[in-house]
Amino acid sequence: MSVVFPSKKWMDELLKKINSDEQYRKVAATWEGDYLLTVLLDEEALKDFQDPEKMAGLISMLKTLPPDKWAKFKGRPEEKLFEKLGLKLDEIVRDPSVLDRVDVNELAKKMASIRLEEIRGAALYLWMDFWHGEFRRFEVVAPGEKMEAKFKLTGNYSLYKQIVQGKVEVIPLVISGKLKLHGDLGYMLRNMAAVKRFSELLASIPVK
Amino acid sequence: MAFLDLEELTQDEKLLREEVHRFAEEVVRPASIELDRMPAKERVKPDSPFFKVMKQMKRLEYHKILIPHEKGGLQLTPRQAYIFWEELGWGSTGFATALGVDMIPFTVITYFGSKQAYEELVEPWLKRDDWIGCWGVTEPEHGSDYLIMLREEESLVEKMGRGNVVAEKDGNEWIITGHKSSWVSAAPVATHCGLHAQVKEGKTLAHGLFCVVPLNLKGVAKGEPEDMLGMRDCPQGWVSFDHVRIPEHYVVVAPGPFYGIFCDQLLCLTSVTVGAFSVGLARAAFEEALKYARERVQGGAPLIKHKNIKLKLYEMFEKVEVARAYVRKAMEYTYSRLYKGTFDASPRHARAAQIFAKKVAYEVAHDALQIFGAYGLHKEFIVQKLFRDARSLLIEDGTVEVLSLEAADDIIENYEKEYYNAESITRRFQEYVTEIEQKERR
Repeated sequence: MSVVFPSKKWMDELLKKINSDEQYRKVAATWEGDYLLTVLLDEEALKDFQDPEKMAGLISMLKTLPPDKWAKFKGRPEEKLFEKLGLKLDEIVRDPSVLDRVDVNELAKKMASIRLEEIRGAALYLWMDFWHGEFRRFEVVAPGEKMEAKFKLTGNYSLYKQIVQGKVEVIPLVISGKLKLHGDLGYMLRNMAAVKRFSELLASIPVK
Repeated sequence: MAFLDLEELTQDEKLLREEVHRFAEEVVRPASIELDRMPAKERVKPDSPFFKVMKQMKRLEYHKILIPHEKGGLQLTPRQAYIFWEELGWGSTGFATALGVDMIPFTVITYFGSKQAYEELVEPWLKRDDWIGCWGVTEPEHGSDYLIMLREEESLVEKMGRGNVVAEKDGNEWIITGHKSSWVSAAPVATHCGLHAQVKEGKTLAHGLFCVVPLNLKGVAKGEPEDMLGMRDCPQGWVSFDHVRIPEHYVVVAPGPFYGIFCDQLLCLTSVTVGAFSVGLARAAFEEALKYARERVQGGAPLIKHKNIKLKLYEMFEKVEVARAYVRKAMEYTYSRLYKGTFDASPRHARAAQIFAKKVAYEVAHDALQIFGAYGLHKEFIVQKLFRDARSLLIEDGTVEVLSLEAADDIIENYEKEYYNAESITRRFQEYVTEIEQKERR
């Protein structure tokens, strides 16, 4: 059964998949460290979110953000994106439950008129916390949060999508500079078995 | 000449040794002697023995020994790979070098590159017998200092000056401009180059990238083979790039922290490999000396009855055995890291394998020549070629002095660590990129 990427369901599925994998638990037994993923919206993202199902998936992820975090989008490219979609950030800050009432079909339609230059730099921020073979937490975070993460991975939406679909591997993308990785690479190299198993499991989830 | 291997090889390993040794003895060595005696320009003509042997090696799939099975290769076990390199080095360190550098651009793509680059470059290379790779590192103003940039203080690296080959991003392409020096192994015969270039805005060699450049592109020029003292069976020459455009996916390792780790780890691989064929050369010299000393009568008795010769032969044997034991161990450790994709081989141990084996090769070849007396100086005997090749090894692929200094930096910084510590390389190489990124943003 496939799930929509990106969506809250996909996040839950990944969390479940990793934590139920004995092999991962074994190879990541000594791993200590978290990741901050910055998923930069690109042309492909603008196209994908014209699909109401994908837009619903995006909204389902954003809705998991704690109410007090929304103010962090102020003055950022993401705020411009919300505006273009007809969503007022001030209203969301006051009452995040407005996202429960949005019409995803309308939002998807509006996506078609947005040009990348208008929202360049807008991103989705995800935080993954791994500890001794356990995938403890997987959360959407606000800009500027979790900057102390052990690893920070930044790249375009289309690259993340290809990784999730199992079309490309993370490491060659990092080596070729398409994905920017900041952090203790030596630590990562020493724990490559954990990174690889995670990537395999990530790519094994059928996505729409 | 057969010999007892303390490692007690499996049947498969014994068969591999026999097969590669037979090829080294019957094909590689005679061709290497012929090439050694030929004028430089003759060695790169289409009917040269160089191409005949390279094609034969490709038909035997020797170029595939490091490529994983699922990517169309043979992927010998690390121990099998050691056996392979020692035997090929026994036949000719020139051909071993030529095959080694042939593998570099394509093997790097296989392990680190994109699917697109693999399909465009590696797949044809696996099938064809006329694609030959080379490794473009050495430059008119930079040689072994490419090693120093990894761990030396930043101020010293800056003093070394900028690289002689520069890469500039232009849309979805990179433009390569500059000159690699006359010592690029196999450049005159190569069709592709695994190239280290400095990013145009970068301050030092460390702010670089690794790309693969097909040498038939517009703007590429290659020099005639140089007339060198040794390793004449592997033609060396310059290669230059005049605004050569390559697609983005031919840049396999982008500027940044991974470029530092990549250079460090690639040097681990080349170090243990050069170490293995240096042991092969040392063994070849020892065996020549042993054979000659058994046959040659001087002062009324075979040379082997003279105590000074006996002593020398023992010392040569000892050196070869110790070098083999260490280099094989270092190669097993290093290659297994490559196969696992962990890129965490130990630089100090890999460099030690190369340094020690090169010194042993030189010392043993020197002593072998001494045992031959005046005949050792005569071109009729291979021992003078082995001596010249061994002397060249002390310089090629990093001088032993600079390799030792670089290994010393790793020992001083990391001796107590039971793992590959890439922290300082990561930090330094990240700083270079961050500086450029900040400039670009401004």
